Amino acid sequence: MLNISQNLEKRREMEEYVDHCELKTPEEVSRLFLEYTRLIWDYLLIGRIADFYNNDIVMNHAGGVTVQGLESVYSGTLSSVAKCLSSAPDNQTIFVDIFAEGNPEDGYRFIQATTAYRPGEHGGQEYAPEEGVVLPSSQNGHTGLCECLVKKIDGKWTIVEEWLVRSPDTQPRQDEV
Amino acid sequence: MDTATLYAQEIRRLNDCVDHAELNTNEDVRQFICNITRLIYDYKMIGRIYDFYDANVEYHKQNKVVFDNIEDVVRSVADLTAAFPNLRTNIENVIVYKVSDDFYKVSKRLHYWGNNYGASKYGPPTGKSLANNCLSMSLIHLKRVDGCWKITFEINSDSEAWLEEVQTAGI
Repeated sequence: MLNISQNLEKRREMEEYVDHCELKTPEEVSRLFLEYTRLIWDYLLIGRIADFYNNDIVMNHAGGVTVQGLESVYSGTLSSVAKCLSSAPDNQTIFVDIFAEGNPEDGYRFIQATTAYRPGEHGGQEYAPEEGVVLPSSQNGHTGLCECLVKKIDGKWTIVEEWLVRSPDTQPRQDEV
Repeated sequence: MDTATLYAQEIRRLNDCVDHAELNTNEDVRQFICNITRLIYDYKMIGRIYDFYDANVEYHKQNKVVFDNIEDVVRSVADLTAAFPNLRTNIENVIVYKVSDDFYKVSKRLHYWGNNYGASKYGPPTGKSLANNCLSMSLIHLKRVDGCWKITFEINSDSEAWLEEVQTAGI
């Protein structure tokens, strides 16, 4: 995992942006949710799920698995983080890409592609994609695609629905969610 | 009008749309991506992959499957449509982001519908249905290359475990 102690200043910068972003443009939305994702998964501020996830959030996974409710998001995230801390403590979340479409009146949809980089699987080397290559071929085993619908509800920007497909070895079964 | 005639007409219509597409707006791109998806997967115009994908496309699927040339993409699509000859795509959402006049980033979310009526790497046809469970998502880089719009990069993640289950007998 990220060395949080050595990155507290970076964390503060991201929290400042996340707390004050007004989602005026797709570019702001992309940066917001990139930093928000990092705050949760890399900096373990898991409680911040409540900042943007709706109480009745619907999560659509591969294979027809659908999960609803904030508690499910918390339990799924906590479970994944705990597993990662014990089995792959050097795991880093790498954003392959994130972009958004929409506007402040109608809301936004964004897509993010992430991959989990584990230096231990690469002789301790730092992540460094080759020149002209978007995603090293050795990395897509842990790649995930996530699309979110973000709307303003009662004056608050909220993720109301999410679609997520990841490598099969990280798919939740219906009885796990 | 009989089904075959309607089918052929729709192929001609889609061909005409994509061959004359001018990608000036996000909506133009959205329609283009929907049309080429339907042409290739619903109407089995697999050879049109050569028109829409760059010859050296960087293409990633889950489980570390990587294609670095267009022939692998063609084979992958041929395998899927052979296993599910009545395959249909229900395209649910396309997100478009304009990077420049020559570059769009696109995401596509759809569900595949169809039955395993053809043999596959998993064995003989099972007849089982994908139902509404086969979510597939893609992230695409669409660039103008030598005056033509080409997909140069794609990450595609399907409901791989569900696809395997449907194509495997006895479950």
